[in-house]
Amino acid sequence: MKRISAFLIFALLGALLAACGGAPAAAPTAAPTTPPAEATAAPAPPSGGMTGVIKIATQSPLSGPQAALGVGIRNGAELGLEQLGKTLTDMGFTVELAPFDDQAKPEVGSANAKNIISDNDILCLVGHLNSGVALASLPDYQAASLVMVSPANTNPKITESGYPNAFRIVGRDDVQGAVGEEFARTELNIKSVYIIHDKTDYGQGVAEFFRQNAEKNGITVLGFEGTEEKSVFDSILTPIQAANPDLIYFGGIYDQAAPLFKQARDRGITAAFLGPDGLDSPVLLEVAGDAVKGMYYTSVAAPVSQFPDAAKFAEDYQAKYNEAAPPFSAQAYDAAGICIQAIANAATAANGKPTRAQVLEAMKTLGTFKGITGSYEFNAKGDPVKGAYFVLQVSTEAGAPAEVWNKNAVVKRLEIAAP
Amino acid sequence: MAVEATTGSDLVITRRSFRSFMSEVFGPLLQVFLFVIGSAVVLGGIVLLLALALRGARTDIDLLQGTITILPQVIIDGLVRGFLYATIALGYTMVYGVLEFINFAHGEIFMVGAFVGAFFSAALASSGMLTTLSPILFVIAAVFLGMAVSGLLAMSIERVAYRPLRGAPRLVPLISAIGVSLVLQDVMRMIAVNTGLGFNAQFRTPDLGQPLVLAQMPIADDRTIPVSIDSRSLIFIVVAIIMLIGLNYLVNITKLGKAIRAVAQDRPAASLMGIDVNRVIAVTFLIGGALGGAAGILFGMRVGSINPYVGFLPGLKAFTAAVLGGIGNITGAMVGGIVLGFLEAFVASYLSLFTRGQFSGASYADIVAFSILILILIFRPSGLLGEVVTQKV
Amino acid sequence: MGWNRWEVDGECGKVKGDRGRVEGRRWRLVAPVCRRDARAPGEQKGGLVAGKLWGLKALRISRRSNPSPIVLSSWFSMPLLELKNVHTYYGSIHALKGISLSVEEGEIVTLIGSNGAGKSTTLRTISGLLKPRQGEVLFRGERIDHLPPHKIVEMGVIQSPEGRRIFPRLTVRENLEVGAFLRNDKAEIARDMERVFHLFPRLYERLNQRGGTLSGGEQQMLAIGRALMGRPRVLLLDEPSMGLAPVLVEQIFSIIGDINAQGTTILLVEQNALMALAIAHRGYVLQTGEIVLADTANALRENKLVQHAYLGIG
Repeated sequence: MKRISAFLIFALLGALLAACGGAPAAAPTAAPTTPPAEATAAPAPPSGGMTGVIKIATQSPLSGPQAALGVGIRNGAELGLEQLGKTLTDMGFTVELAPFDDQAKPEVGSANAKNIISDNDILCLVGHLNSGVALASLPDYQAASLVMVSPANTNPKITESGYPNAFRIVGRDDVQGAVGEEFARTELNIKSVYIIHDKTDYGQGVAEFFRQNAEKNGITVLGFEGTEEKSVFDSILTPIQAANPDLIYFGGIYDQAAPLFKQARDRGITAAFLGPDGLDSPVLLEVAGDAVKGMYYTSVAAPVSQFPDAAKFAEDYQAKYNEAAPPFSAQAYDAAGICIQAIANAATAANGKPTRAQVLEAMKTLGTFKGITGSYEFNAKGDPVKGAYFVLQVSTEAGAPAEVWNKNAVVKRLEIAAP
Repeated sequence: MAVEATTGSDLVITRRSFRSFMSEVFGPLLQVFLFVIGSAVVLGGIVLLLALALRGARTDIDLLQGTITILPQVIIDGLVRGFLYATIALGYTMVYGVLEFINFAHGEIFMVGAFVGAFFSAALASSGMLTTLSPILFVIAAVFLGMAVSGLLAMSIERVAYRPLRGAPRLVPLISAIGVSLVLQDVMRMIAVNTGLGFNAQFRTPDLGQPLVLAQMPIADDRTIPVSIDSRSLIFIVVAIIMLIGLNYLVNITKLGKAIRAVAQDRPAASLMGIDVNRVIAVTFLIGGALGGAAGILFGMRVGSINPYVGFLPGLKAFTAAVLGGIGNITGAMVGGIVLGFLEAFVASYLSLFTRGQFSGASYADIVAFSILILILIFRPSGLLGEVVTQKV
Repeated sequence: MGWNRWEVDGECGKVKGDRGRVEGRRWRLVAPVCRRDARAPGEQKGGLVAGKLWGLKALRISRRSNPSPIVLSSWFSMPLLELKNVHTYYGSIHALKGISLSVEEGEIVTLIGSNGAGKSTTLRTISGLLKPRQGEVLFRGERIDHLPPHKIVEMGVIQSPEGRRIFPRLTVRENLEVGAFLRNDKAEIARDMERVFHLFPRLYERLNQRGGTLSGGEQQMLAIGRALMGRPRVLLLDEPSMGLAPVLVEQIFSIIGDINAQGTTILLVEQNALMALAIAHRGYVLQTGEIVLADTANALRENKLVQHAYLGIG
């Protein structure tokens, strides 16, 4: 009987794992962290006076290992609503924020999306942080014609899959990967690279782009590996050490990158490190310490200090949330601003509270929006006409990582048209 | 038939022979050592044979040399990985031995141990003592702290979540265990985030020294790469071995150990011997939890940064290791862990090499390891060291 | 064969409940007497000899130099073990329907009956593995039916269970050591182990073998020896003959007789009525949870019903 119970347990475990997709928490919680307001039973009338509640939703990881960036997005949007919402409140509407926690998991984002579209007061969404989560949620948004303005999603599929309601104000990974590769080749004189990614849409996507460009331009790709390992990287680092690349490129997020880089240095691997905007967080410095000081990374969002118009935002953020504004928070502020502008335009045209479809129309004719991180104009696919790309270097100054991170120098700044 | 009463002992029974003592306490260690050597040899041999066979197919690199170059380091990686699974597996197997119950919350008990260490080191760091404390003292203090907290936690969980369900069908306490594991993850997440330790908690340590370089393997272009083992990993292995010896002593020599084995083999009969079964089960959980906590401390020291979900995957793999080695068997747990660790390390490091990058080893290591586990269970269901006990009427 | 006898000195006036210690073993006064020249009625088989009292307390402790536990006796035949109207259930099945029996110190009492009559249930109730829904189990006048099994063992009620239930992966030595689990007196434990090996020399040959590898007969010896290691005040034997060849059965029963002769009170549950009645002093016949006959062993052997149903005669 012991053998059979062992098998039974295995089967149970297997079923459990299949159900939760191998993610740590066994049961994906669909409940948002703060309850959304009551969903109205009947759809709001398209016109009928400029009254009513207008909500702007956010979806980002508010809990879990990437919460540092996710909460920043939420807070940035909240601040945006406070300061820019006047446009709508002057018209007579009440403006509210409806934040949701997608836990950086596609299934949670998708479940939240269904909740979001059932609340008819939500007319625009700022989100997500992770491209994989956004891609899982977009079908639901599209079905309801809900506009999504992303402050951080970089995977090309977001705007190349034919979703009319998907917009982003940051650049794309096919360009970011190329930017990284070019920087590595020309500025760092890299001849060989070993590429690691985290098997998500985002990480694997940008790693693929890096590889394609590297192979095209004559850099030897010594290895291309994906892993979900977060703690012990021995088995990956051993072949890397033997292969002896000039560069290790990691496509993924800081919580995984930090231990990887740290353990690599501990082993005596001297290769340079490079990665995309997922590395853009002070937690990288906090966890990996000296291993990452002076390393380069590409980003589609520069630190807040880089935008002269964002100085006030940085102050306000610090005052309200008692911490420095993390990367992507200023972009979320701008995304919220874009949402507000589109809703306002739609409301004026409809002479009342607009429908989501009308907001979508307004987005298409938005023109140029001047935000604190730059001016944005969208092309037909939803990409910004000119995307900003940055190469940054981690500061080597001493001090608390959260403060030091804002001093990361922008080594290169490019504006590249969307492909 | 009365036996003549004789005075004096012509029967030498009371003193356990020194030889039997040594064999019971250190014998299992020898078994583990043999499996380490055996696994390394077998897997290394397979890999070398494969390299020889596929040598001709690759022109870009010399497959054989590439294989040999990283072989020692892979063996060490496998050893370190294996000992991690082995120490966690000990907790699973002890509880299963006594209750025929898989404590699914054990991975989380391991995680709690790691967090205890993180809190401890954070406290030391903020009071400035971290740099002044001797590393050995730090390790000992942290391990004891982790063992105490995790052991008591495990014991309380048993009392609250498992004992009331002891008469219920097997599946019920199992579900309770899964529930406990989820609760622990979220409670720890709440604690970590709200006490400033953060979701990604740092586990600081005093300077534990540089990696120990064992050899230098030559590689192309007159380079050599070092075969090294991190000092933390070394500490891990040493402490794990001490724990194994201690556990064997406890279980095979002491009275408590006999009681535990008696309860494991026949619970009602054990209570007929005057053994307080509930107390023995509680102590078993205490010991199992303490071992998990120690593993957590050592793990946290090694990786440097932990989060509340860090116990899930190692716990799952350690459970499979325990089953692989023969669940209920202490030495089996260690052996299972070692074998699983070696399998994973070899696959992770060599798969992409042999398939020319088509299959990335890091992604598929788990699949291969678990497949081999299933194969072993099909052909030898009692596990590597499990006993096929014949029932006597 | 030497006899050692102690008489506990003291004055008249010791009362019930008084305690003391002899040879590391505690004793407690269960019934005080203060008489002169009292004499217990006759000599009992097995050698507990009544003796003279000189205005002393009621306890008399006798000990043989042969291996045996210390036996405390009292003039008043308060039964050592007593069941009063015990009803035990398995769920909703009424297994014991009002059992009453008693076991005097120094006796062998046997409980015979066919399969499913409730014999093992009775022993399991006594040992605390089952709790009676009604009725009382008394040991030395105190209720034990509410105690957990390990506490009952602590009081000296030790069972060799049905089916032997020796620990298969422990060695013979370890099985015996577990039998002495509650004891701390290492020297005495060692001596008791020697006594067990004198009773069962086969066990000594298999000292370091695992229990599961022993033959049925050896396992039965081990089970009894293991129970003896606890120095029981009353030894409960559950079907020691089960599954054993007749030659072995005779051997085991002979040894059981010896154990009793050395002073251990025994409650013997058996299907093999012939052997059981041969060595017992008294017996009870159990049928479907009820005691239908209670008498001396001799009387039971002559009883027509018993002969017909259990002895295969007539």
